[in-house]
Amino acid sequence: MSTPLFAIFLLAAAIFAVFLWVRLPKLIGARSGRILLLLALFVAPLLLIPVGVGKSLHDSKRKDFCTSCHEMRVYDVSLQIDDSEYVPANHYQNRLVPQETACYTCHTDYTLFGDVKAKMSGMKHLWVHYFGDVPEPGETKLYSPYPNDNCLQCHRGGKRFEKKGSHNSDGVTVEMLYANQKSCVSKGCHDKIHDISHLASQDLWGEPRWPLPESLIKRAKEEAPAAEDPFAEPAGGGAKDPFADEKPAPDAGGGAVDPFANEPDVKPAEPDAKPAEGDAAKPAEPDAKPAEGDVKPAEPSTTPQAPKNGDAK
Amino acid sequence: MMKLTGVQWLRFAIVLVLIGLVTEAITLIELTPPTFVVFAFLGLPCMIVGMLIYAVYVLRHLRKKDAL
Repeated sequence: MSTPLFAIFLLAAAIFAVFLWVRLPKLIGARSGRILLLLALFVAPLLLIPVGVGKSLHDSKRKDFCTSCHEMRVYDVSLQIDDSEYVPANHYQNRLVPQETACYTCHTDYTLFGDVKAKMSGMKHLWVHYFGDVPEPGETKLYSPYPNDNCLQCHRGGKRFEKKGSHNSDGVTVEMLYANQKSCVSKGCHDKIHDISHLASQDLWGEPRWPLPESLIKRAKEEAPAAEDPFAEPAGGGAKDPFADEKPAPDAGGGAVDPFANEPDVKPAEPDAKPAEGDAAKPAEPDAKPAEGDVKPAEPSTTPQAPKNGDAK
Repeated sequence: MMKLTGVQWLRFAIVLVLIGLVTEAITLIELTPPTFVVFAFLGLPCMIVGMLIYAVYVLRHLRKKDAL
């Protein structure tokens, strides 16, 4: 519905309410008036309540709903990180989760009251947004450790998941993951999550959907090594020629520089994990994974470092 | 406590249902966390209470007329 239509609807509702208010004594006295009151005060709300509740609950699962608060926009940008080791970005970009409801899919507990719990968390977010101290970008934490069940909703029972070497090592077994004894996002496992703190220094897939906060850009500049600036003066004095032929390609022969020899952003080809056909909500296993064998021994899984769509304190 | 007449109760119900409808319309058009919360915690209860007031009024009216 467009804004003019909405204005017309409001105007009509207001006129109708005034009409009912003024004519109420006469309406009660006439049969047609009583029918009108029945329709306006009972039948119409009875029909409109399920429409409003259903549509708003459905639409509140959308990513656009989450990112309508500016605090959440950095998390939206983090879904654009061009590195397949970042779990949320990999899932989002390869459509392993529905892109329209990406936040909801991964951050809602798959239990009977998971949806209600997510909504109550949202209330807390709203409270902090208006009345609390909003943490700096990158400082937000989850209210509770990220539960494995949210990953296992899709991955449980998958052949690739269960046969994977790093899920069957000395420190980690599939049973431990199923029992939530070892967190999927433990350090050394799938620990590259949103990583908001370093977001400004990441390569992104496309233009960032939202401008990044100044604090993140400043931090990225501070952390960037000065040597990367070709025009910066070296510490030893003497201007460095940025166009100097530092590393001629071995096969160049006559000293011609291969323009792609030092290409910094070449990424390995992505594995071919694909979501199950026709079922976006049940994707196949993601291809973001640490190299096999690099999983560290078991450690308590109570403190995953995943940033949160929220403001836990 | 101020005692309301039947017409006053119905007028109260009209206002409550109107508040509910307006918040619902806003939520359907521009769904954001604040509009969602206002609808869920203000508009929806208002509409339900307005309906209940109307229903109670009708039932009492019918009982008074021995129609029930």
